[in-house]
Amino acid sequence: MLAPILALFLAAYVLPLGGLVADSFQREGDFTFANHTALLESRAFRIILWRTLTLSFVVTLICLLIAYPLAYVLARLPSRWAAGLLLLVSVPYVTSILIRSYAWVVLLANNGVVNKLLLASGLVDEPLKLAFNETGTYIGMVHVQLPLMVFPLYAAMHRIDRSLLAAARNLGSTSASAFWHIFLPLSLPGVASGCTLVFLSCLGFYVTPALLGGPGQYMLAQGITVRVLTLADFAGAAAQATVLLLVVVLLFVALRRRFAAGLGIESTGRSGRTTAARGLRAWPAPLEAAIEALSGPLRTLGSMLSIVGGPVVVALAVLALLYLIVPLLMVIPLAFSDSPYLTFPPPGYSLRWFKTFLANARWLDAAGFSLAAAGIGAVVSLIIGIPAAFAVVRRPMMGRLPLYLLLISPLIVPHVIVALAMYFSMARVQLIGTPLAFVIAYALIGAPYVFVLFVAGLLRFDRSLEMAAANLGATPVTVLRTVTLPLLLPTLAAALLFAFIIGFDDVVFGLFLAGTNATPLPIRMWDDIRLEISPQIAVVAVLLFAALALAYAAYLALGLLGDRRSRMPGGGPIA
Amino acid sequence: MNNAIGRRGLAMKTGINRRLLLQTMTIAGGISVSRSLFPAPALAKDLKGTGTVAVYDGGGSWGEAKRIAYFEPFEKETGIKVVIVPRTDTGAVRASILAGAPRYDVTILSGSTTATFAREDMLLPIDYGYFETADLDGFDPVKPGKFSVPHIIYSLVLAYDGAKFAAGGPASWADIWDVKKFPGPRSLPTGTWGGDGGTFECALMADGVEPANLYPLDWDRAFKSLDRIKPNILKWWASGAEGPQLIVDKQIAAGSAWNGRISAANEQGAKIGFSWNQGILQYDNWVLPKGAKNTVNAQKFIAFASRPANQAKFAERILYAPPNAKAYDFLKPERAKLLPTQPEARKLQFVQDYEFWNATRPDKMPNNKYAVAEWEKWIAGAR
Repeated sequence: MLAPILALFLAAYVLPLGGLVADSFQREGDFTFANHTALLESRAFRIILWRTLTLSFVVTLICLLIAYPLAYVLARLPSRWAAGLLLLVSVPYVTSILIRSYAWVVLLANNGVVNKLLLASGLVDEPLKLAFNETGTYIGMVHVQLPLMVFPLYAAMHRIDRSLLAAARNLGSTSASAFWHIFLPLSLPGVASGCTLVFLSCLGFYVTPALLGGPGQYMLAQGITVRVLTLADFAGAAAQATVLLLVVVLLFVALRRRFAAGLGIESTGRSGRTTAARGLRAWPAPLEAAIEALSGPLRTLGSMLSIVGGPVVVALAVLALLYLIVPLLMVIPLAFSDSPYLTFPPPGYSLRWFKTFLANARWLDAAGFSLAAAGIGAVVSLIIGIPAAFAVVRRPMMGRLPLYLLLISPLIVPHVIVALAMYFSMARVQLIGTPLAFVIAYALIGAPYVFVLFVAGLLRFDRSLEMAAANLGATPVTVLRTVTLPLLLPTLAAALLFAFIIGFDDVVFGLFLAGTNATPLPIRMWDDIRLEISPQIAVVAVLLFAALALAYAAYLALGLLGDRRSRMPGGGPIA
Repeated sequence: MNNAIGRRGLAMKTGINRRLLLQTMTIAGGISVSRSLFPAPALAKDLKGTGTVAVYDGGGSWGEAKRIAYFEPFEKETGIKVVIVPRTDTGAVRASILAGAPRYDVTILSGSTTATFAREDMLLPIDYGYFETADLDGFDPVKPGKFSVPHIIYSLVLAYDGAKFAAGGPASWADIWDVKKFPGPRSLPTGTWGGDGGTFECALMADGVEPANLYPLDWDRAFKSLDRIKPNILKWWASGAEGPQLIVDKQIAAGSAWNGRISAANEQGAKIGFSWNQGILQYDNWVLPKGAKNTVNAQKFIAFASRPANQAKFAERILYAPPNAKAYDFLKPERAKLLPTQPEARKLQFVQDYEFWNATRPDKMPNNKYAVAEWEKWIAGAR
């Protein structure tokens, strides 16, 4: 089950990266740690690393707080409606980063839409500073990372059997207490995988902070990217990436040891079954004590929540959705602008930018290439990522933690480093400029998303359902088809979406791997519009979103899976 | 305009030494020196050939101008097919040469990078046998070098909101630093661009250093000057389109931008003011990556693209100055006056010293890299 993913990782990632990392241990031909210790001794490097880690941590925390109520509400809706709303959640992912950041500036700047509304309403006397500072960084970063939190949470909550909550209440538990002791622990695998994805992808993310942050904003990935792309200082970049990787891995190991129970992955190796049982167990002692002490107030709070709680949670969820889609609301008019450059609101409306896009054969070719390469890459990452998750969760074996860390590490190492390493090994076998190179690259960067999501999906998976089916005579394949996969459907959809978008949106691998017959859309378009920020980029976002909306409409129309999957209010996950 | 624009992703940077070297030699030995450097026959060159040549395109209006001025006429005259290859960054170009499989036969590097590539033995020498002597003599103010021929010249100039300062805007970098006289937020290129952003030079000029005395840069003085402007910086811009966009959106009142971006925005109705005074002339070069397949065709292409008439055709499409000054003979005056190397503008500006930017310090670190490292320290508050 692990063979395919290990083969890909070894050939396209571990060995190439190893060569590059080895270079960072060289100084004038000698093996040395000097490059790395010099970094750690550099105050500037330590400050930038620290800021990167804390920023990523805070963004993760905010994402969790916003995403939790949203996922909670979505998980209670019938699947077909939840699917539609989840599509809205994916909005930040389908709008190109450039246009999205521009939309935020339009909204948040001193003379922006938000400040105009606030001033007009008399709520403030002078414009709030919302962009080009820390606030702007957080608003932009949280926005783009939020889907990575919502999807795994939804997948976990979707499977929680709400009759457990009803049972707890019948036995005298308050809503709040039932939530704390039953719902929250059961949703933990989603929390863990969402936090992992968000935290790690924040580390490598610097474009949004660079565009929306203040003049002091600087992320480690920015320095690494400058070293690779502008200075062509490969060893220097590799040294920084190595230190980053080590620090994050150490952090992970430390955290995993401490929160192993909550996260479910331990080096000792436990079967999914025991972990599932442990899901219902109490909180760690100090927290349990705290809850105990607060039980009185909590009870009161709980009964209050049960009266107003519903509406409050729903309101929070609606706010979160609004936050996710508001930039798209700016982007749509921009796509229909008749202005030669970006101005908001557009002075007039026309289809000129759609026409230029659809008339440009090079772009359409590139769009076709990107769809195909990212699509195939995403499918490959599903094919290799899902069995790996099954193996890690369900097969007791040695070395699960190192394996887990290896499989998520492409999220930690900035893509520009992976792409550079991959470039050298692919050049050796003449793969540069071929579609295969892109499929390999996209499968590699998509696989960690698939893997993390499915690990979360499989933890706390109630295997008694599978066993029941097997006892009733179902073959393993039938069990997989009729029990396991339907329960994992939201996980599958999220994994496919992320793996696809991560490839479709990629610029970095394109810079290295492109050739005459293999040029992805972001490279081609970025090349063409880099000189003029035109409304053109908005068109791609609108078309992409329209395509997703059409797919959803088709899904509704065909009632595909819908009837079978829709849940009764208050019913179990497979009612 | 500026290829400058995309610099973050672009590739280009430098070849410095050669320019200074040539300037010095020209001054010392007069015209004869440059002649002897580039011995060239008197008759028009026959560039006919077969096969293909893979050329960096640049995309958008830049690529379009190349297609009309260079690619199509070259194919017609020589029978050699031009294969357009999209852009990539300096790092990817270097990687492709290291891997022995450069993706271009002819590519473009910024002046601030070319010398580093040459020093690492990654470029082929230019064969000036394919050039007309007259074409070579026309290059001004940047002479062709052993490994590179200038492709475009552009200027990093001070820019401001023309509507806000209608009665007269900032006219020097000191004015840009003076937020009492010209109030409002500022934006300058991020220092991670090293020489390409010109931010260090601007800081020194704002502090009173004459362009002639800029090099070698006094880093401490530059950062002290940056300390003064930092509280008024809205953000450090990181792509060439960003500076003008920030002015158009009224996010900033003044800053710096590439001249081509400003003129292009103004052609579309924007009101961005700028001054040639203390503008920094920068340039990109045609170069031949070592290991490329079609080197003869590549040499012919560069010679073709150096002819004044072709460069004039190029400058009609996009506001990059033609490095061959004889191209001005073919340009209409109203077009010529927009270009940064026209005589009036030329005398207010200076050519950036790429030799300095490529030179290595006593600790063996090139100034380009040093600037980025010091910038990171400064941004992190650790300098």
